[in-house]
Amino acid sequence: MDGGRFFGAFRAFSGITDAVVLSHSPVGCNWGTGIFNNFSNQPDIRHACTVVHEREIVFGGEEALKKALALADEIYDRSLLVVISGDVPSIIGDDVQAVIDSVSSDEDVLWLEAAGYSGSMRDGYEDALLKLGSLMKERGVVERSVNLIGFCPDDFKVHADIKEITRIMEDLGVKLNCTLSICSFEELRAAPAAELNVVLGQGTKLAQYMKKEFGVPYIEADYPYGLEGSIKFVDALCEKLDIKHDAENSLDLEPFKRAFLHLHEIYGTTVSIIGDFHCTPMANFLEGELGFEIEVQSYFDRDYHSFEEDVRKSCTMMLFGSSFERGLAKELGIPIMRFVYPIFDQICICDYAPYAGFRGAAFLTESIINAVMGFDHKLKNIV
Amino acid sequence: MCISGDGKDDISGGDGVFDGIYYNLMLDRTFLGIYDSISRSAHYHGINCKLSGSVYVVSEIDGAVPLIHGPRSCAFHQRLSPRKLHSPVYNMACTNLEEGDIIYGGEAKLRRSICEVYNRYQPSLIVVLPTCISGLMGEDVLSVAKDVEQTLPCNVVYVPSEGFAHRDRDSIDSIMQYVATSWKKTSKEFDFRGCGQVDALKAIAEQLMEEQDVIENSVNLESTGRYTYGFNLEIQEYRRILAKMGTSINAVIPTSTVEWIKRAPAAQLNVVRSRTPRWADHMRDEFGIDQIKKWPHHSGIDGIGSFFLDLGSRLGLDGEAEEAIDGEKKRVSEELAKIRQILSAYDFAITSQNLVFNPYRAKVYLEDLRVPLKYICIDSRVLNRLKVSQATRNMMIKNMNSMFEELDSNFQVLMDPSAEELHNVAKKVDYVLGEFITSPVYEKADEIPILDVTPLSDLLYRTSFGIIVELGRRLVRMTNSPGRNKRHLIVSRFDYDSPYYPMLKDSRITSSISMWHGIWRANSMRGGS
Repeated sequence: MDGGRFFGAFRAFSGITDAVVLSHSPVGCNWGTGIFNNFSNQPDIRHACTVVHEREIVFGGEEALKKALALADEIYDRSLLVVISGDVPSIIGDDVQAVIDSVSSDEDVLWLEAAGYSGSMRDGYEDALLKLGSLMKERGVVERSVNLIGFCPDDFKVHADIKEITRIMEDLGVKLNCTLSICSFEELRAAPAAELNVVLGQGTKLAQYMKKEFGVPYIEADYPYGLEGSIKFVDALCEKLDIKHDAENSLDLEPFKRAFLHLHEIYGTTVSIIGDFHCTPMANFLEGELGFEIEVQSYFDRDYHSFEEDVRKSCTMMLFGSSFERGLAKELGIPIMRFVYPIFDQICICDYAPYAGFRGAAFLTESIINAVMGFDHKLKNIV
Repeated sequence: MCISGDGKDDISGGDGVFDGIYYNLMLDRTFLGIYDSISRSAHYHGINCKLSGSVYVVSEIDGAVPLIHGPRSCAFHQRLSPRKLHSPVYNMACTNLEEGDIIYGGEAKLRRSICEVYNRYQPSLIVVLPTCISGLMGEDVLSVAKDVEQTLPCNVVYVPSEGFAHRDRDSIDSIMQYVATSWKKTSKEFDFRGCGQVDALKAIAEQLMEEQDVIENSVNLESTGRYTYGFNLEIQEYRRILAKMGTSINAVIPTSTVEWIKRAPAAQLNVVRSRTPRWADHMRDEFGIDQIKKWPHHSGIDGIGSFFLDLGSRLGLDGEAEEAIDGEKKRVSEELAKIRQILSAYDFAITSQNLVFNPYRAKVYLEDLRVPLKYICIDSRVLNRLKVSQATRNMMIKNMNSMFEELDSNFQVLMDPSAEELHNVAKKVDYVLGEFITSPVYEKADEIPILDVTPLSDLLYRTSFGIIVELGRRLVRMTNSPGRNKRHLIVSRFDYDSPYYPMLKDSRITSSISMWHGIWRANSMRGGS
């Protein structure tokens, strides 16, 4: 259950908020990436397609790309145009760079070969960030500032999570320089001004590149779910930036106290979980802080059918994953908590209800308890 | 709003046959509509893959599993078919073609995958769907599918569904010509190439259906999909009326089981609704099954009646059909008597921003509900932006006006009225009936007394007397509701891109729509043209 290289590239590039993403592909690739992209940000439509069709299969797609580039130049008010070349142009051998060179000498047109069959979503994301890195410019270092790397604009709760992580950093006196990739083109270019790159799950290639090119050091940290996950994040940051801070002081247990009886009751709940790099830190929170028993834990790049079979054989009472796991949850008659891409049956429009960070821990706990209490399928014979 | 117990809008009555319709429609509207809007609006700046139409058809067949012959990225997003965003296709398999397969060929992988799919799901049918990649590789998918089928206790069907072979830039114009001519009952079939749904239905008819003993007076119905708006209501009404005529439904295609689809050739008649019913043409040629088509003029009480009379006639059941339809019309007439009386006290206008306003809808308002209709305001600007040719637009307007002239009424037609013209219209009537959920826009302006009829007017194409009755009931209830224009809806606070309502006025959206139309016109040409 992996979107492949094309999806990863699209998700990274579409995070540049004033960029336009042009898929050099048939219509379906553009539709698929776009439909998952817009559920929780419906006006943010900045993607287009060269409409590779039968004619392009016969004569090549370079002319179609050329027309699309010219039209995009005319229509869009944008800072950056990114071309993602998909499966078909890769096989028919379109010379994308030559076409771009023939219509534009600007550096604000970028392209990436991203045939879906040639790698994973993670690969596509990493390589797309690396391409974006090539646009960065050397800057004077802003002390106590960091870049957060690893986000996608269509991650669930992404804006709320970034806001909470930023709040946590500001409490430490650390400023957010740039979030990759949810930033403007100008913010992207100014990314080397950061004192430190913090890689949350993915984006290591870019961090390595920035270290080599601009001397920006980096740390890799887990996505900060839960109180413990948040403390670890803070500790890692403080250690690297030489900040004296006791993260335990940031803990606010009041929200948890308000539901202490429920917290006792959900202790020992048997759950299963699947996801991308968000999966391990989420599982750590569920097991390490709520006291859940993890029955099955898996990842999208592993055999999905085995995951389903293992869950069926287990004593899972609640499932954690994406919207694609809803079918399994329904089949088993158990609730599902969605936390990882793609999520297309829930929206998140509030930037003050995160899942990450200290406040996110409380909101996540509240959501989990509500999901359990609001689910009455198994109780239908008792009422 | 109904004040409980005041009896003010008590217009229910009769024998209860038409009760519960609105409840069922609101179930669809509430729980499916919330997803549909995403897919519908995405069509302003793109179209879905040909493959998704094929996946959709397979997902309608109980006991069938789609097998995507391509990279995993295709299967990843094709699970979410645009016509059922509320319910992904969970059981979907993929051959997961990788770079090595592109070089050395994927047929062995396909053979292995078909067997694995059988072992994993034990389906009655596996539908193999090639992608752009397997299409470019020149794989002989049909031969592999048929070869492996011999070794398995299930059917294997192949559907040509390569994404690059989707419909072309002229298809919108062709569809609009088809629509306009169908109003005049002169429509001819056109070659709607590249539609995954059309090709999947045809493949299933060709490769799955088997010769059967004919079941007298039975029909197959072509379905729009079990989760499409109003589907269950329409099927219930079909069943009820066909039973009265002494006929029965043999299979609903493709919303059925594999076994029932195999048995489809037992029917005497196919009722088709797609523009290009290649599946039914095949059944006619191969099994000698006659077909009857549902046309736009089969709208309204008389239109629906004539459709069932035609259907009965094809089966040699003229007398039975006449008796059944007379009974239906009598029942509807009794239900509508009080409704007509109440509605006759007001003057109405209709404003439609739908892509196509079927002129036969006006007939429902005028002849069935007998509402005093003073104006019909039609917004055709979407057609302009879709680059429908001037000749086709002229034909549409001409045919529409010609239909309007046949109606015995003095309403005025306003094409693409300005906001000022619409305000003037509103001042001259008691109510403006708003289609396509335009109400929030007009609620912003207090002086336009808009009544949102979208949930029912969208369904007037369905073969259902009940929906007409329910539309009348809703209109009565809405005219009884005070203060509809005194609200301050959040959704009314936005600025909209009028021709593409409900898209917001936002440069990102506007540019992406323009970009799409520009590229679509420039690039989506058939091979070699």
